Formats: sequence, structure tokens, C-alpha cells
Amino acid sequence: MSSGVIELDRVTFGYGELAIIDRESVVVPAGGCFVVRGPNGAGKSTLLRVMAGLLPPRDGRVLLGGRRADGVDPTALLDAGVRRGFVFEQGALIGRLTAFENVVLALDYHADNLGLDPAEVQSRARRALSRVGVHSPDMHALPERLSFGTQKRVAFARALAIEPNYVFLDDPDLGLDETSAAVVLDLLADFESDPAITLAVATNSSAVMRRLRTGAVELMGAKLVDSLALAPARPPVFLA
Amino acid sequence: MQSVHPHLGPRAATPVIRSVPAPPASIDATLPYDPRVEAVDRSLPGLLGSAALRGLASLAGFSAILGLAWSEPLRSASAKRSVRRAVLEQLFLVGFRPVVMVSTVAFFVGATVALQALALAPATSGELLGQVLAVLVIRELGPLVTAVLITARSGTAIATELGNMSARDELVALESLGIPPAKLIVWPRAFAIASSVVVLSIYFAGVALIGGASLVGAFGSGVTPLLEGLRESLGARDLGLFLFKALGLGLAVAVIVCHSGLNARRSGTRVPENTSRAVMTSLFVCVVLNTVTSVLFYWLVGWPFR
Repeated sequence: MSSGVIELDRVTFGYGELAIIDRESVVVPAGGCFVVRGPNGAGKSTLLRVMAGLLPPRDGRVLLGGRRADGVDPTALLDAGVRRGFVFEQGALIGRLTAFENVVLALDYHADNLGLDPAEVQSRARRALSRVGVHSPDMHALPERLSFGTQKRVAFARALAIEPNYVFLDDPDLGLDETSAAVVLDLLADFESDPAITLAVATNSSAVMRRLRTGAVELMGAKLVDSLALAPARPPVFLA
Repeated sequence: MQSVHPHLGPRAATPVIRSVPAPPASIDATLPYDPRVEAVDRSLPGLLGSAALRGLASLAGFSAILGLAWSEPLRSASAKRSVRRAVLEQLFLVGFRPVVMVSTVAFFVGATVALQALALAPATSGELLGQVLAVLVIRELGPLVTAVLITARSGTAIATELGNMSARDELVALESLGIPPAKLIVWPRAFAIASSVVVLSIYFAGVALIGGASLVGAFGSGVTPLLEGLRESLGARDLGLFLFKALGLGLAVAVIVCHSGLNARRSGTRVPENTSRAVMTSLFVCVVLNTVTSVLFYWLVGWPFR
């Protein structure tokens, strides 16, 4: 019934004395899209991690598909059908593994749960890398040998490979050249049009918001507010 | 109060945000450099309290790493396979790669102990030399020097690696993919350190005794009486003490190193500082634990010098 829903129930989170989210409640319906923007340092990335259950809130609950997502064994969450694809701002690829091994890692670990044999693991990883335009020799290089744009595309491939039903994107087009940005924006459109994927994006990029054709909420002062309500005179440049 | 965001695009699925208040008049959010994040109470009670909390957090971290040995076993065969592969890789890196270094150090430590014993009492019998070697190498130096070598070689590497992984969000990335970093990353490293200290301590003791015997053979009274002295002075209690120390020191190094690495959290600048702290804490704990264990041992079995 609640499959695919992201729910924050009166969530509070902060670092030390700095409040990032203060008793906020959000419901993103299955297949929905949530876009958050805000000034640098407001805590957009933190909010995204809290939504994904990667940072336990000080107070409140985070539910993915009706299942408690914060502070639980990540494998149990995946076993319950919550497949999270999180693309971090800096990629966060495992530094000692090649691009291909980075994509294979989760597939290999969950091969039984996902019903994959070793050949399927390899072919699915190749397909995911191919979809983001990463081929040999980049595929077999360590992340430190790859450009930032390629690293980010590999991070997308890693998220894509597990066929996620929840996708979290932290500044997806940040620091990308035109080619990489085009790949990423096409993927965003695919995610958005896929009803099996619930999407959450933290960004200030007008290109991303234009492509998503979705309004954004603004994170300011630990509260989620309607971004247009803050400055009604401002033209909605991020809307299509 | 409940409001639906009014500026959504064409998608039917609509995020709902509840309890939205008016925005504050001024916004002063500057993550990750906001001083409020690490606000410290500079008063004496505040500093003591912070230190106590840090100590408790460290103890909780140590317990959590130790607790991995008793944590819920992995259910799927593919996950078990991945963890097994990681354990074997770490055993190779931590337990096998340093064999040449451990051999060299052990040989010279054994030879040095024998040399000093001969220098102190040139007319000493081979049997007594064997006893000295057994007491010093088996009861004291074997586990301690091995733990120090593993700390210096693999402890620094693992603390740095975990620190960098933590700072670069690699651990949280694994978690997002449904992989518990504690099981795939931390457990194989902690297990490899603890078991390598035990196995390499045994190896160290053997090579050190060969080193001592070689020197005695070259300058002393021959190897046969030395071996006789070794055989006479080594009992089950000595071997029990040896293994207990090796396991204790191995576990101590494993939890300190892994905890320090993970404690870097998302700060790259903390990695060198934490690595240095991990090494110094490990060395300190090893030396103290070694002495305390010896004292407890003699307290239990009887003081030899009374």
C-alpha cells in the first residue's frame, strides 16, 4: 500500500547546536518527485541523507515504503524491497576498486536477493556503465584516474545497476561538462518518467529543475518552505 | 496544518509538506564550517564533561567493533562470499605481507637477547641462556613486538583507509546500496589484525628463538644445552600466557585502529590526526596491557622472586 512512499514524520536533525531540520514532515508519494533547493550550507545534502535513512534523525521517523529506514540494517531494508540508489555530490566511489568493480560490488553482494548469477552480475554492470557512457578503458580504471565527470557517471551507473525504486540525487549536475551534464539530465528525465521510481533531488541547478519540470521546496533555517512564497516577485526560472 | 506544494510540474504524484512555518527573518547557515557544529564549552566542567563523553563514546565504539564477532550472521550466500573474500584479502595484506619484516625483526631480537645475556654473564650455561630466551621472548617480547609491528605497518594503513573512506562518503555509499560497512569493511580488517597478531606472534617467537640459538651457537656454549633450557623452562602456563597476551593485544590493536579510522567521520583533515592517535594509543595500550597481564600472571601462579 505504502510501497514507494518516502515519509518524514516530524523529523529533527542537527549537527551540534546547529539545527538542520526542525520537526518537518514530508510525504513523497510512490513515483513522486521531491526537489529541495536552498542556500549553500543550508543542509540540503543532509536532508537528502536523512530522507534516505542514512542519517538517523534526533527525533521523528523516516519511512521508506512504510518501513522504518533510519538506524536499521541496510541489508534488511533491501531484503524488504527498498532498493536505494543514492548519487553523492562527489560520487563517493570506493577508491581502491575500479569503476567496473564499484558497479559490480553491490550486485555481487546481493546476487542471491536479486536472483542474479555471476554472468548476469557482470552483464548488468556493463549495461549500467554503458547507459552512462562509460566504456573501456575508463571502465577498468581506478576512480582517481578518472575525470570528475566520469566518476559521477560511474556513481550513477552504480545506483542504476541495482534497479532502484528510490533514487536520491545530491547536486546531480554539479561540476559536470556539457557532455556529462547531458547524460545526467537525460537520466533525470528517465527517472522522473518511471512510475516505479520515487525521486528526491537536492539541487540549485536551474537546468536540473527545468528538466524535472517540477517545483522545488526551499530549505532555510531548518524549515522547508515554499520557494516561491519566499520571493513572490522572482520569476520561476526553474519551471518549464 | 497541512499544505500541498503548489508549484509541482506535470507529475500527478505530489510531495506533501506539513507544518510549514514562516521563514525566519535572517538565515545564517554555513555548513560545514558553522562553529555551532562543534561548539565547545571552554569551562573546566565543560572540558571534563566533553572528555568523559568522548571516552564513553570511544568505549562504545570499541564495544561495537568487538560486538561484530557476535552480530547477526549474514543470511545470503552471496553476501557471505563477499565478506569471505574481503577477509581473505585482509589476511593476506595484514598477516602474510609482513612475514619478511617480522622474520628479520624476530631474528635480530632473539640474537640481541642472547647477546646481552652472554655479555652480562659470559660463563653462563647454555641452559640458563635458554631460560632467559624463553622468558623474554615467549612471555614478554613475542606478542608485544608483533603487536607493535602490526600497528606500525597495517594499523596505520587501516586507520588511514577507514578514515579516508569515511571522509569521502564511501562507507555511507555502501550503506545506501544495502551493504553494511561494518560487515564488509570493518569486520574483515579487525579480524585480520587480531588473528594476524596471534599467528605472527607464534611465528615471531619461533624465529626469535632461532636467532638467539644462532648467536649462542656462534659465540656461546652450543645449541643443545640452550634447547634443553628452553624445553625445561617452557610450560603450559607460559604458552597460555603467550596466547592470552597475543589475543588480547591483537584485539586491542584491532578495535583501536578501526575505531580511530571510523572516527574521522566526514572530515579529511582528521585522518592524519586520527591515524597518529590510533598508533600512539595502540602502542600505549599494548605496553600497559602486556605489563598488567604479566603482573596478573605472576599474581595467579606465584611470584618467582619471593
